[in-house]
Amino acid sequence: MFQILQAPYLPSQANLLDRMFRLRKRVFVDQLQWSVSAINGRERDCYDDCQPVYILWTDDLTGELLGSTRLMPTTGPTLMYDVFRDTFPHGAALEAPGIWEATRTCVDAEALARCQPDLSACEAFGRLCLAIVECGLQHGIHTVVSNYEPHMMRIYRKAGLIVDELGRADGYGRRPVCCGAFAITTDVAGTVRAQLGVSETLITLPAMDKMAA
Amino acid sequence: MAERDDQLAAECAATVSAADSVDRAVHLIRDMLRFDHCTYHLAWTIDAKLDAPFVKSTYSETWLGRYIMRRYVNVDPVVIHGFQRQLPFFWSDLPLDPKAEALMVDAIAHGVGMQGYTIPIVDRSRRRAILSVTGHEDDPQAWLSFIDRFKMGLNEIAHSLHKMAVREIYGEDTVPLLGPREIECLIWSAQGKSHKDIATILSISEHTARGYLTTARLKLDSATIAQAVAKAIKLNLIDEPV
Repeated sequence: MFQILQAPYLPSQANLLDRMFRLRKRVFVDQLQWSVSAINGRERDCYDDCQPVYILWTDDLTGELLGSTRLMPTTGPTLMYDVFRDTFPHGAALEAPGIWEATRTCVDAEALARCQPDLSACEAFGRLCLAIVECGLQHGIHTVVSNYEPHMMRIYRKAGLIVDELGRADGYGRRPVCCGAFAITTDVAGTVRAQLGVSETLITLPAMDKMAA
Repeated sequence: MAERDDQLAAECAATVSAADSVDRAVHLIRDMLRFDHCTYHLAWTIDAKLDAPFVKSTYSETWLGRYIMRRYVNVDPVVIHGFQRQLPFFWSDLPLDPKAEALMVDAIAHGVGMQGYTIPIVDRSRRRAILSVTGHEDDPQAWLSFIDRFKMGLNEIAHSLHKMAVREIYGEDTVPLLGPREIECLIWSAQGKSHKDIATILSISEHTARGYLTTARLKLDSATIAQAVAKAIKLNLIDEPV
């Protein structure tokens, strides 16, 4: 199940969010060794205090967290603008209504192997991207800007997503970190769906609102 | 149909950015896109303590007065959610406690509209605002598809209204900071090049070229690329094509 979580519903899902911060620590601090800080086994930064939107993926059967991402409108304070400015080679910060940033996108490979053994980590990441595309389509978002390591380009491509690399920078982790953008249109959604073999809608939004209320 | 909607939304955005006040602008949005009402509401503080809000609305004086007298702002789920959420939402998705329900019934009785849609706004200074529009459609499905046609344009309109409000309050009118790529794209546009031409010239994708032009256009507070080019020339950001 993919759910969109945002204020004022964050406190009602504190436990799930805590699991997300632990997953992010394992992925971004332990595995990728990005220069982000971890406290008490959790990776959390100031943008988590800016009322971001999270997309959380949990296993239908076990309720285990399988993946997560964080979305923020680029008109407000964003990680990309404040921290990753150097990855914009031409000084043009993509900021506009309709352009959102997705950061800290990750899947839990171990949980996936346990809960969804038929799904490769690559496909799983693709599904998370599809959830972002769906969320964008539902809310009039036409472009998503994201940061990722160079090898992820292959995974985006496999998911049918065309990511334009806008720039890359060294010094954030072991490998360079790229900044890229992809368009959100119904055509893009269709391509990703076909590529991943997913016909159903991953996110059902209003249901979530009523559930969390 | 979709093209005509986009064109109407673009015309509305152009008219709004040329309006002389936020008050005038909310009326223009209502009239052009045929909403029942349109309201812009800026919260003074980031944590949405509404000590002295800036509200411009097409609602009747009677309703606005009643809203204040009854302190509805404390129970209004549109305001409570609007200043916390980031994604636009339909009022029909809001959880209604008995107090909120009573407010909604009273609101409908005072002609607020049967259906509503709200766009949360946040800027670099972490100011929060909301733009709400309402319609009379009885059928929620018809309202959903009506909003769906304009939601992209409404996001832009909401932000251009917010910029106007900030200018009205703080009087700031600075020259926007354009990135080198945005300037390059504008220069080529001024020479009459299309997205596609620019993409080829700069060896970037068409989508990215369009992205740079869009951000440049919005930074210049313009509804069209032509307007943005004219403004950029006036502000000496780019030279006049020879």
